[in-house]
Amino acid sequence: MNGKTPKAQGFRQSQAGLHTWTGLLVGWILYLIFLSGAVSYWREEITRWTQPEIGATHDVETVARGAIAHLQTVAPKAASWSIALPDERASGATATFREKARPAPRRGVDPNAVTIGPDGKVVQPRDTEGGDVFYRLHFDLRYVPVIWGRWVAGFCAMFMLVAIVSGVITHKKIFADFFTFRPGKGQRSWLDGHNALAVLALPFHAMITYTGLVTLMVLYVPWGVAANYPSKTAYYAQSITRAKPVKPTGEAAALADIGAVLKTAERAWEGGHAGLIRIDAPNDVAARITLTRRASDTLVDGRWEIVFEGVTGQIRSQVAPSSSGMIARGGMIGLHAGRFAPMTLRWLFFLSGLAGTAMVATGLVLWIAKRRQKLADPSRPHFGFRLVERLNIGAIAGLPAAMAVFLWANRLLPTGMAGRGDWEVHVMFIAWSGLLLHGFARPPRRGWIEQLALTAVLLAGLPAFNLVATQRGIVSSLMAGDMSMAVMDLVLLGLGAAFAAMAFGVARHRPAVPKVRTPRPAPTAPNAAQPMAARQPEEVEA
Amino acid sequence: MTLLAFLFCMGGFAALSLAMPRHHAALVGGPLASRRRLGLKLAGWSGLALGLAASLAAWGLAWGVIGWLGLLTTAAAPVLLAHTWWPRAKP
Repeated sequence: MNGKTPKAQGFRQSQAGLHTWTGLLVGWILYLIFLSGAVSYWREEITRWTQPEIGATHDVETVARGAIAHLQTVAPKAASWSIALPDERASGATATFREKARPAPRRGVDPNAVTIGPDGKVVQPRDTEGGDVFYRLHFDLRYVPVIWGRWVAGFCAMFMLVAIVSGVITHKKIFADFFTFRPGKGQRSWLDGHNALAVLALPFHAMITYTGLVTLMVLYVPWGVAANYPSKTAYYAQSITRAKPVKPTGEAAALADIGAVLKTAERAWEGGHAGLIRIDAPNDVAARITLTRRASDTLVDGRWEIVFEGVTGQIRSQVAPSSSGMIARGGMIGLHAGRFAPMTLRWLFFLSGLAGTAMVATGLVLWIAKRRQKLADPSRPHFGFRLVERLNIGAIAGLPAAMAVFLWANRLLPTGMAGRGDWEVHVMFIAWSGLLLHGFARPPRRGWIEQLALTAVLLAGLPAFNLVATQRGIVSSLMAGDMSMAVMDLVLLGLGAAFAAMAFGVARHRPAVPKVRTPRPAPTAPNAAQPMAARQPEEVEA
Repeated sequence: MTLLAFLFCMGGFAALSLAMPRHHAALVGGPLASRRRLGLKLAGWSGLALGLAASLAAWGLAWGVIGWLGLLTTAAAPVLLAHTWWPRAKP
């Protein structure tokens, strides 16, 4: 490769090769990471949608009081209580307690945890992972040990970074083609679309990939820690200081009013809000209340804490992110996760995330479109071509369908079912496996049409089902002023319509330049795999 | 204020795209005089700058810049689509 090409075009050519193959190798996983990441900007909203039993939270103080009242009745002598409070986007609080002052298990179901509804009463929502499914999938993947998932995600992100840089270098006319999209021209259109999606959202793509690596940097680049600390535990012990356990005296005393404590914290944080209440040794003279600030409060993801005397409600101590390194890292994590983002910004993040998803998808399809022209015998493409072509169907059209299946499982599985929350996820992956196989079993063109249409029906059917079969249809959500439920239904409908348009586009698409080939029907029609460019076929002629 | 920022950015991109001979020919027709080109470029960059100012006013310093970048993306998209389908719609 090095010696054969002239030097002038050698560098860009080499970057093109690098871009193509780095992109292809991790493309399908990147697609999954991008799509699950984009929808994770609505993690709280999805969780709310999957637990319609809990209504919208209007007043956090009511919820906090309700949680404490519940804990007073079930565990007045516990070692500690903790209450995770909702923010504007979430609903309901989680209240739990610990009998003894030892750390809780990191994972698994907490038998003491209950959900407190907006009215301060205990509610029993259906068992589901909600929006956390997609959030976890985004960097942990699934069915593999978490650490492996994170290494794979990091590997893909590193390749993505390489693909971004080499893509920019190899793009011939990044400014001249800035506003250019020529539909209905096969490979040309795919390249235009891929370029437009990449260039227009380039700040987002670069930011999200880089900061994504930063979120798990201690895992990927452990040497800084290894060089400066005797062990990982020592590093965490210093960087995440934990309060010493409180020893109860045995002398009973009433707790300070939680409403007043919350207000004091709000003043100390200059308008900030508590996300987590932890009460050590409740109902004891030595009681201590620790408030942790909401992650959605500040751009910098970091630990803000205020510790109060449990009985008097006086501030004992405060913690805020201080070292510039921690603030820089926290800022990047905050930027990546967008927890801070106000609604408009959140939409911009989401749309940019979808642009990234579509960029990866168009890149994968482009690989096929580019090679289709050069096939020696189009009716019998080689193995690699067929593999990529078929995987594209089940990945690009199949994953959104499977994600919709998750939401359907959430609505349809019986509420009392054992392991219900897990089965929602199993059903999603069973559906996805089926669709991946379907992509191989059907002729590619039919495969695209069927899967895109299926995705459209699954997505658009959800709001319809909500309207007809549940109490939380779009009409009642709007009447109740519950905007996030209503908007989620509308977005599902809109996405369904978009997939329907793509399915119709592929179905109506007639290849512009029919190549001479053996008279076999549709199966390997050139450009069959072109849902997006095919959307406006008649305009091409106009 | 956010909407205003978006409109500034979109207007800026529209002017910048028209300052490019190819798009100018397709949408407006006729040759692009160098003075007009300069004017369009100036208007375009000012639009983007005003968009930044409005974003800062809407979101403050830290989030304003992030929001502006997001708006640039979403504002360039309709301009791109207009250039794709507008010339085709003309007789």
